[in-house]
Amino acid sequence: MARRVLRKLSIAAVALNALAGCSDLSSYSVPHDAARRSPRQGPVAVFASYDPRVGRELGAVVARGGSDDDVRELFPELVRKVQELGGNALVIDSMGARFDLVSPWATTAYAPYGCGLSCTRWGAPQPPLEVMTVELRGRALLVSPDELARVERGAP
Amino acid sequence: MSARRSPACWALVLALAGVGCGSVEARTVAFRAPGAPTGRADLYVGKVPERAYYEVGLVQAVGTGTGADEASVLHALRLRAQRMGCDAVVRVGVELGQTAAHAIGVCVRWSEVEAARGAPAAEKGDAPAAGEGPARGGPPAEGPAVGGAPVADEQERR
Repeated sequence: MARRVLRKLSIAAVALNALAGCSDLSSYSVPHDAARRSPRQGPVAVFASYDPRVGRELGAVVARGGSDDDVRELFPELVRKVQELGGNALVIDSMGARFDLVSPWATTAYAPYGCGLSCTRWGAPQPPLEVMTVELRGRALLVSPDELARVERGAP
Repeated sequence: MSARRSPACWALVLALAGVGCGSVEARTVAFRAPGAPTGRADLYVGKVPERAYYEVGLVQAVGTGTGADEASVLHALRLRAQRMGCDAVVRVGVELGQTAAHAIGVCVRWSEVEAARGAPAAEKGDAPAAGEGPARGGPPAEGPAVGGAPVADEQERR
């Protein structure tokens, strides 16, 4: 009886996990110096195709996501990291994807001591899966309004 | 007559399901409000355009199945850029896996400002002098390019 309930619970847990999806979104920032700046709110200017070479670099920012994450999740995360470092501008240095082959782990039930005792073994009996990782990498800058106005001249 | 289907029947069903199975999904993040759709969008993989431009947003395309090839993702990237009102996609990068393909780039619009002809300062290795910064990127006059509001997705099924 208890075993049956346990089995139903585990099936429900697996189903919930599958429905929830597996977002691997992660991000981090590395400040260039030891100075602690308070996080900054407000707009962040974005330079995705060139380095404006203005302002002061505060640190590196990285946002990384799995197959379920895309630029709509990664980019706001990168901007948030810039704000955390106290910056008001973001230079995107690299963006791209990487493909890796991973072996999914699975449980295998077997009964070495007869029907009454069963064991569970972790293993990787399945063929490897290809997993895509998308990464945006950039730098947080602190740029004065005058400098920003100077480099924004092309925009309407 | 047995209701059980033969293995050959199942194989046929699986083969039919596999034919033409693939998709290319394009996603965007806009730095500023997208403009009216354009008729063409050039792709710049290595070099950047020599004329002045400003950035509109990021464009990304992911292809799977039969869409997991360079041509499919680049085509999706170009279409999405056109719908965003972009004239070109610069810094285009393509990565190919065994089961998926990925492309990403910066969606740009040509600028009316003529001050920024030539390669950007970052490419030349010299910082722009005061008053002659490249007319690229940066916030619009009414407010900086912020975080980016996601724009509606486009998905092509094959």
